[in-house]
Amino acid sequence: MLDSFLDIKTNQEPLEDFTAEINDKFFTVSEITRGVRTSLEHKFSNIGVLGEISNVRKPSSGHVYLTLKDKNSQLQAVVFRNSASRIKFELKDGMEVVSFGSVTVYEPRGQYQLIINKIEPKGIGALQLAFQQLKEKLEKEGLFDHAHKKNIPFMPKKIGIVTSPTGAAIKDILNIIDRRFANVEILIYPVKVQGEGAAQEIAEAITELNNYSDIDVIISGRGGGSLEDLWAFNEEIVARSIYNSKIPVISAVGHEIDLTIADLVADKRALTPSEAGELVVPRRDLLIEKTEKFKTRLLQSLTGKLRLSKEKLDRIANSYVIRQPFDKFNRWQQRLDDFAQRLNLNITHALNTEREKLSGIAGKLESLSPLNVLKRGYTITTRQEDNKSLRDIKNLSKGDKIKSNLSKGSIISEILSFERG
Amino acid sequence: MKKPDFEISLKELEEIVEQLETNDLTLDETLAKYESGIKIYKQCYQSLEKAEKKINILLKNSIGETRTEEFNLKKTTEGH
Repeated sequence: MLDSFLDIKTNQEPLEDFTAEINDKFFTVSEITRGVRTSLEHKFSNIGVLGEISNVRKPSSGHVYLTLKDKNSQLQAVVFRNSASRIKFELKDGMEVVSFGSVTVYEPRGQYQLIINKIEPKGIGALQLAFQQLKEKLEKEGLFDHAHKKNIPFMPKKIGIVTSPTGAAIKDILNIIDRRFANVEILIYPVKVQGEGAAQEIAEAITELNNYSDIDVIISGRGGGSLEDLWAFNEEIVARSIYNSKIPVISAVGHEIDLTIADLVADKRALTPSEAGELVVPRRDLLIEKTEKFKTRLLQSLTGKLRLSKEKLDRIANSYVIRQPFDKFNRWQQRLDDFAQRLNLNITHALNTEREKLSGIAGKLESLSPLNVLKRGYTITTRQEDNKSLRDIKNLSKGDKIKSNLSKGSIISEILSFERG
Repeated sequence: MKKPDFEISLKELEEIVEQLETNDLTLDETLAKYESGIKIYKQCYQSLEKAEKKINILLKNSIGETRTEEFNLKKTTEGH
């Protein structure tokens, strides 16, 4: 290794007099540093390093600084902004990783470090890890909460579709919708569904469709592909746009086995784009059939009721009372007449009896008449004052005038004295 | 005025039919129910029939202005 330093040394341009002379004997700090750097870069270029991450720092510059370590040693490392932006998962302390890059020297400090171009978790794919990490994060934040999920309208009038206009997904979705409920309005928002900027476009499309007040539901998705192909639908920005959408979103990405973050956040997950077509509209023919059946039943109920009512009416019309409305009246009248007659008979009879009774009483009365008694010589004495008949001397005084009624004529006398009887 | 939701209308229609079929309503009540049932039936039928098939694609020009154009599946997927 020293040889190479010397080589460098000998390759240096000759410097001016005195300095040059010193330079021949001594290295400058820069020379050593540059030499070390060249040597290291030569030996440790495009290598892979196994190690555990510690002390991750992410300043606002976008570069990521970290230390790789194992049991005995540490290695300073840096991921520059461009490379850092390509890392899908989050670098965390304690994580075992494979880092790819080159060792170099940071000359101002004379520190050697690993410049990482690519970093992968050990034992698991970077994308899988990224998926796991984002899933955990968003789950904790409540983005998958069932309570937040909106209902998919039963019969949307207008559907927004966010996908590639040339992909397999749009074809499948449109075919199924056409078969089930053709007369519906559809607005396609064309986006890139994979590669650089795809996630951004998808998120923007979902956000922008929310400005269309007449859209009832959004489908976002794409056909099948590799995990990398589908990656846009695992990006946080897409997840957030779905979560924030006021319009319900159906996510339809790849096949059934391809579960994406978008699927988890969406109000409804369709296993395939075709299924999205099935979920988004009902079968029109079945609805027409159902509606028509209800109409038939309505009519049947009405005619049934009318028939029943008519039968009831007929029954009443044919009844004795309706047919002979005066019959009862007549019968009552007859009964009334009967009563009247009987009443009449009874009264006559009663009158006769009473009359007979009366004449009997009259005979008796005659025999009891005081006139007859007088005829036999008795008199009836009354007080002249009030013409009351007298039976007792009580209440009478001397000098009272009394009248004695004889059979023929009467005598008026004045009381002289009393004799108690 | 927004038209009542199809699903709700269909449910209402079903309820009316069931009331007519199971309840012992008077003739007047029956007629009134039948009338409102037919009205809802017409609304349902209209919302199934009325909507038009329309597939548009949103296009953006370089300065971000949008317009829509009829989308032709065959045209865009041919040769793909």
